[in-house]
Amino acid sequence: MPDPSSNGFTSFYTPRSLRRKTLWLIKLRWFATTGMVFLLVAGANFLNNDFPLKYLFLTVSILGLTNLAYTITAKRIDPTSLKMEMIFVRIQIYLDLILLSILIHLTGGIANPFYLFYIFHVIIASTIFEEKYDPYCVTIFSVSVFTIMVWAESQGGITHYNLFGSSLSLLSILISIGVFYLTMFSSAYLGVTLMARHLKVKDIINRQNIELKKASQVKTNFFRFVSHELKAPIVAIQSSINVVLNLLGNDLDHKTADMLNRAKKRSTQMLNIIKDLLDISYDRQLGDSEQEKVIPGDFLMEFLENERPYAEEKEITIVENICVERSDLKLDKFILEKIFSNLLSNAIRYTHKGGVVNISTSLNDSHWSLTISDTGIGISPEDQKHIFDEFYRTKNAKQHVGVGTGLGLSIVKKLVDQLGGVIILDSELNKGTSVTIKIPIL
Amino acid sequence: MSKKIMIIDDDIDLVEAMRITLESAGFEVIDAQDGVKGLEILIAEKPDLLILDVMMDTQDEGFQLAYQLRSSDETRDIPILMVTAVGAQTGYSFDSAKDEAFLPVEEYIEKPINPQALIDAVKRNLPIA
Repeated sequence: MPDPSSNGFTSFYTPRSLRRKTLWLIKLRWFATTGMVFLLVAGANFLNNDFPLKYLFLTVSILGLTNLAYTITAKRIDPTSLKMEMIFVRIQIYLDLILLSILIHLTGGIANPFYLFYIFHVIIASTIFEEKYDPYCVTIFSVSVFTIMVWAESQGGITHYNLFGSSLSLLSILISIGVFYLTMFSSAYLGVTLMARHLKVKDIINRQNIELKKASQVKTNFFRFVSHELKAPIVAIQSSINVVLNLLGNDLDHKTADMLNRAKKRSTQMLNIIKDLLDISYDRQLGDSEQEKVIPGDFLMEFLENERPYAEEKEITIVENICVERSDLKLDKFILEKIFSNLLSNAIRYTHKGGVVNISTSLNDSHWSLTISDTGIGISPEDQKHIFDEFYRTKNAKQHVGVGTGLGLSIVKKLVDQLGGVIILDSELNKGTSVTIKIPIL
Repeated sequence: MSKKIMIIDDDIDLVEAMRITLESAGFEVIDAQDGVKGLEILIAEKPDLLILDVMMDTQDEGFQLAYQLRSSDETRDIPILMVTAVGAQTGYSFDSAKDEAFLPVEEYIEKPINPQALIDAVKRNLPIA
């Protein structure tokens, strides 16, 4: 598990994965050390006496020894703490910078393009550290050390090894070109390594994505199956009750008819719960071209016509204020239907006889909004905290309407989330409720 | 002579509910519990109208049967009412106006059965004799 690092953010490293970075650094360092020893041995015969060979060998030896020390440390001590691993990496990078600076100083300072090697340290630091300030610290450290060194050399504070003279000697050309080649190839190596890692990560993500989609499909299929299996008996029960009530209705005594009506009501409730459960478990794959898209305002008008009888039954006035729609703005019909039906049925159900339900939409450059407000029973501030929770029903709501699943608003919330929108609830107990959804548009 | 209605549905309680409803409206009702048997009886009995369940043994056994009936000269003219408890939320969206082109049935009836709606739908789709 990634443990939080010192300043409290969650690292994408584990101690072990950060240790792998250390091992990579060690490998690179062995490569650099070997290369430099080889260059020094090969060049020793050509170099003039001005070349501080002794010091150069000493510095490269120290580099080799530090790397040996890192290797032993990495072998002996298991990576357990992320903080310790990070410190380990920092020690390596800053020590490398100091040794590089000494090498640059010994091989001619600013006269030698060897200072390009600082770049690799900055690149490596940028790929290892998670926090942005770390690579910049490495950069500031590098330029500071180099600037001080160059300044001190120019002021005569420390020796300037004048290896290149004023004219272009063969040696200076060879060194410059050698450093240039190394810079080029090392850059290519770093780039390729980073790309390979990037592709590997991408590959892992792709594969996990496919797995997730499969799992989601399995889940959806399961819910389809279960809902069918759950529905079938209830459907049979309700159909039977319907037959008795319809065909023998007049012959039944009042009590029998009443009990059958109760049974029918409860079976309807069960069917609604199954339907809601299915809605909430059903993940729409957004962007799927097969889904039907509709102009939200037009669809809302159409939808309202179907719902109007329920409002009229309760003598509730529906006031519409639907804005002019853009013909190119289309949203998923399935999602809109679920949102409309849940919000509207809530508004009608929880409003007293003779109340008013207001429906308005608006459209600006960034959002399509819908507000449904009612003069209903309202939601207390305490209940508002839980109103989007699954299966939550307020006491008030239970008293007002016996039958309900407590899933409606959580379904709406989930679907609005899927569209990247927001849902705003404004309610006062016994005064009414207003629900606004804002859906971002392209 | 009363019209003969055939019901193919694997839920015997639903079949019974529909039978009582239809018989009360003066129809003669025959039934079968699966597609294979249903087809046999259907060819032998030549009902005036077929009520067919969408999902029986498989998710779309009803559809398969409807296709089969529509592709045979013998059975092509029998009107089909399809009974379904499948709503839009399961991902199948049925709309007889829209799906008629590729789902050759006359009408869809939603479960649970509403007796009056069933009788009306049957009367509406019976061929005029």
